[in-house]
Amino acid sequence: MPEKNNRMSIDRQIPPVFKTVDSLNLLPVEVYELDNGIKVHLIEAGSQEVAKIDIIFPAGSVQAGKPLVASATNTVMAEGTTTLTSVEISEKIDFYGAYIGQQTDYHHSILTLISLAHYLPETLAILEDIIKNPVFPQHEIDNFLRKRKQNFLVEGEKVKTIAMRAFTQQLFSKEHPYGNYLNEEHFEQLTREDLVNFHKHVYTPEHTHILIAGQPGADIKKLLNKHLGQKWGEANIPSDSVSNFDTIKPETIVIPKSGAVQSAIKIGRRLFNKEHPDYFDFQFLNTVLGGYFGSRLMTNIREEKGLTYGISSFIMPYKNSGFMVIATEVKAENRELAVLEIFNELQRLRDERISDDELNLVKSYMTGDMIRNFDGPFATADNYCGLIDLNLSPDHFQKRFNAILNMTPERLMKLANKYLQPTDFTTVIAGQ
Amino acid sequence: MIKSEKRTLDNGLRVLVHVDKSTPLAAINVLYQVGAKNEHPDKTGFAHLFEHLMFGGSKNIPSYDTPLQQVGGDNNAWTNNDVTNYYLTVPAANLETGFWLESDRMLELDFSEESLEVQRKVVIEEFKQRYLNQPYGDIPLLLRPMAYKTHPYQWPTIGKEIKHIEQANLQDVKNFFYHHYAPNNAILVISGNVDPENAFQLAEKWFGDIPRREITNPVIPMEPEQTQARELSVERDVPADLIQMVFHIGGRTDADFYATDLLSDVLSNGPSSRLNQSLIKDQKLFGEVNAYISGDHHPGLLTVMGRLLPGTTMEHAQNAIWEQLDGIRQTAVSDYELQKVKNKVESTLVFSEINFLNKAMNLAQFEMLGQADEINQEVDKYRAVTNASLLEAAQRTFRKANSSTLFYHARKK
Repeated sequence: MPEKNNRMSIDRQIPPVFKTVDSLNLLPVEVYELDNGIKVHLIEAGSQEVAKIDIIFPAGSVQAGKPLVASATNTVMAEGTTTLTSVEISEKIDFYGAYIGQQTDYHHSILTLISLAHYLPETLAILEDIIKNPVFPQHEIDNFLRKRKQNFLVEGEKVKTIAMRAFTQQLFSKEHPYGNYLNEEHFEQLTREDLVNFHKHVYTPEHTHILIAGQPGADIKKLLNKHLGQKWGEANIPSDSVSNFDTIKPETIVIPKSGAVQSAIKIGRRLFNKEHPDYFDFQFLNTVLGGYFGSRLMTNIREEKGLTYGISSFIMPYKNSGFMVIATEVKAENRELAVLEIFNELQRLRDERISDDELNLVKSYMTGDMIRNFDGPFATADNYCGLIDLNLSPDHFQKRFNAILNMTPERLMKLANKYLQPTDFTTVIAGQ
Repeated sequence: MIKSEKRTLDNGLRVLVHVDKSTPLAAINVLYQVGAKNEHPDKTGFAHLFEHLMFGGSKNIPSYDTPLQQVGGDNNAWTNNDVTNYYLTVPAANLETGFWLESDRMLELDFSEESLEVQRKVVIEEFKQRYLNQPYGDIPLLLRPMAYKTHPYQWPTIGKEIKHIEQANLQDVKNFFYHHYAPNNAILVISGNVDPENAFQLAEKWFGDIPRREITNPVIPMEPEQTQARELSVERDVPADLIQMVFHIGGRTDADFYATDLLSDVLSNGPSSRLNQSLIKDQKLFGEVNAYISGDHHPGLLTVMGRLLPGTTMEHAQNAIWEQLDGIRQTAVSDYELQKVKNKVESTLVFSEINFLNKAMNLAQFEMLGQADEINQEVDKYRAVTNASLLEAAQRTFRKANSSTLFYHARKK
């Protein structure tokens, strides 16, 4: 038998040649207006006949001004209208294989419909009814409160939640929504009137946006105009501007929890929103510190010392402020060591110039990551959603991509010295 | 429709390619046919610990993550009771870097004491973070040994206890590698913006010379039929009582899988489902309910759980759940209700065909269970379920003697 040897010989020590990513191709966003002025942002792409429709109302917890009102309104809206009961709505939506989702943040409430394109005429009609004619039955409000309170209490048993609540309260005070100000008493104070009023004045075409991603079909513009293109409601939207926060005195807060086998650590500081000139470059610095698997914190605290299952740092930009935080859960007896090492890593970023190898590694990682994050209409829409009522255009993302490619060691050190001073940081430890 | 092409290399590695030109990226998914069920009862948690070690460097490449990040790639892995699955995504032009990395760690790991030492600690912290330091986190540790007395599904992927992870040594690591990590025990799927011919050539180039290895799997003892209801009560520092029941069902490739899956959907998929409407909305007994099946390869479990509202007693909660289960066992679901859950499954399947990485993972699973192309018959198999077959599944499943119930009491403060 002839010997079978037609295989190429390979040297496994030599990596294959590769290309650096140098451009980002964004899917186009078509922006137009319905007859009533609602702005529609359409990202038409994808291989499946499926669409995701986000209706974004200026109905966040800042506009509501009272805890629970914004999320209760957004949730209970779907629990009964003048023509459909709660059961009828869920039966229909389930029967069409569709999903309705609700999300509330500080400045918006989002009502999301995911639907097969050919059922959009039916599912959009239900969505219209939910938006325009909800009746807010008292027993549905009670049901929302029971569920929500139980979740609140269960979350409150987690050391990471205990630490995060204390951290944001320290940064933004217990009086402001940014400070996670919900507490147990608030569940007794919500009234049906709160919801009815908030809905009447805020769930209107005024300042409302619609974001569509996927393949909604050729009739989508007509359909949207039919269901959501006319005037309704009595717009009277409370201001969502946020006054400046007091300067904070950074400190260390320890919250003991008996029986905990780990300590949750949050170390961070107040920061800025997406419009700030240092926003992009700070993202780079944050990635080096704790924003990917090969980051300084992961390498030191997990891969070298084995103190934790995971550690990361991230930036949370709000409309009028923001913060950065380093978060981890560690073995109780190692928590002093972990805190010390976190501050050591901040110091290294301030004092030492990053090597070219590491700089290029993070550039490659971040550009690749952006391509992943903008892959397909749904991922693109999720990113784009965060820009919608800021004074930012879609080329924001192109600028972010270019900022990654243009980063220098000097710029990183300068930023680290400006923003990573230990005297600006608050430390919270919850657990054992 | 998810089209794929398949070739098998001389060393037994099955290679599948799925083309999706809508993405600028490509994915490589490597599934090894080894999971927690292949572990020795005194060395549990090992398959998962081993997954961590697969990132500690291989024979010719000291770091797995760095070269991948250098080409704009990202990766992760997961382990369950049946398989260990590794995946990466890269800009399509850098596909070969993925082949280089994945093939080298299939060829041979860099077995190092330091890496084992660190990953043991990391996994122990993972054990604490996910199972011991979360409210209700220890439920799998309590329920699995109740439901399974013989079969290795009696321990969760993380392992029975921390001690097993502490005791893992380098010889165990080597044995595990050479008995399970081999081209003839793996499935390689490439998906995304790729040319199939090029992908098959790269597979041959990088994986072709990895030797076939002898796979030794101890015979897995099957679970005997349960004949008596099992119960356990525990008390923990949690804010609300919780009840969780599990019932034995068939395995992933059994004919009644689809009827049983739809059975759990009738109970709790979507806001209009029975448990949601009856137990939360009408009777106001629970803050949360859920029902789902495990999808394990060997005979698995159907789980029903509920978190009690203040004022609901355990007894009342248990009776109310049984009332629902008895209802679906005694009366066939209507055509409308059956159609509703089928529609929901159908749209879920359409949504799952959007992402190229998702498709690679699913193709690997289907190839392991039979053949990849069967992924395209899923919709028809769900459509074929009748009211009668659903009733049969309910009657087989929802029997007291087939149940294990965990009463998870909140400690009075």
